[in-house]
Amino acid sequence: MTDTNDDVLRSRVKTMIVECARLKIQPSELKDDAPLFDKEKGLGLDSIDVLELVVNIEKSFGVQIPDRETGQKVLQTVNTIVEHLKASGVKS
Amino acid sequence: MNNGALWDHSRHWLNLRPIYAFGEWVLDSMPLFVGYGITWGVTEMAYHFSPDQRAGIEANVRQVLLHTKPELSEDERDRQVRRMVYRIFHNRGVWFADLSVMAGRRQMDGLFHFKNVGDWRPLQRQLATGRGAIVASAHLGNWHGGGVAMARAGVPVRVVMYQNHAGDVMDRKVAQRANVRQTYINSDPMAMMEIVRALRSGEVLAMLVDKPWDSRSVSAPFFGKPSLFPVGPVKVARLANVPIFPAFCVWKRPREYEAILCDPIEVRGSDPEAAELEAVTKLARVIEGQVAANLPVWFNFTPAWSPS
Repeated sequence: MTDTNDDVLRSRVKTMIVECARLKIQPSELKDDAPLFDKEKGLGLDSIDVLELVVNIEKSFGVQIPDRETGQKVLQTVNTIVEHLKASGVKS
Repeated sequence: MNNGALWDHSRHWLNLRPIYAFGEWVLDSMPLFVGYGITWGVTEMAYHFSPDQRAGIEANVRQVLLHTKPELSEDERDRQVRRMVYRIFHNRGVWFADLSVMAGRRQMDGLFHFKNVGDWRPLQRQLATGRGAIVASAHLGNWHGGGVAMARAGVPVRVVMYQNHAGDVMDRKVAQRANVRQTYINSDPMAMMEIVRALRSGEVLAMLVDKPWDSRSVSAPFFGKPSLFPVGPVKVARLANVPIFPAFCVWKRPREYEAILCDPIEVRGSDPEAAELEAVTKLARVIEGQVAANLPVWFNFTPAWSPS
């Protein structure tokens, strides 16, 4: 059950990232541990994408990312976002 | 993020930190009218030995005159362009002298007068809601002075900017003296978190929006020709659900500044990209009006239109 919930949550996060950053890939193609802001090894998102993600995480999941330090920890990869959402009580 | 192209254009033999620091120290140490004399001499030299910057301003002024005074003959337009470019260079000297005093140690009261123009009540009403706003300005007049005027009017201002070749030293000093906060957007995308936090806590973010600082820009009509404007500020406004107030600080007589606050622009609509484009287009129209009215103090050394 938990695995299914995790999968659903992960899939929602990936869809949100692809939509926010207008990436030309399918959400399923997004790797769980790809660095979001690394241009070479990851997705190369920029500062405006940070804002899109923060606002959309709040809208879609009701979870705030209140400051820079939290942002730095949470907005690293799909995995870190999912972990933060789970720690904030989001189930799927 | 910034691709460096604008910074390359702003590379200039006067645009260096030690020169700014020395100039500021000299100008802040003597009566303002002597400072104006010194900067007149320096800008006279700059005018003659800065072909790229002269060409940039010339191209901009030419397009403005083509749009605002289409009746001029080619010869007359050429003459007016040359005269205006010369005037803009010398006004830039005045800008530097004033900025040096604003950044320096001297008491500003009595030296500069700031008159608030336009309806400032919508901004006050917005701040009363507890949410912030965005103030969008241009390289017109003395944008630092605009921050000073706002802070003096009790507005909690935070300037959002890119680090640059030289001016950021003075930017910092002016901001510290005037109680204006600063956020530098650099290679760290998380700097945006500070912006979100500031807007949520009711601060006013001031940004210069007349140059496409980074790869995110859209085209909007500007003096009859499409020009690129950054989309970042309107995106921030849309996502944070705050209005944009175009604002400018210009002078028609030395040391007498007008801090102009224009009507707010909302970035709303079911289609986010269309809403952003509409807001940028409105913003470009307001900037166009202010540039046309204050052309001698439009300090945009970067060509605003592509040559084609």
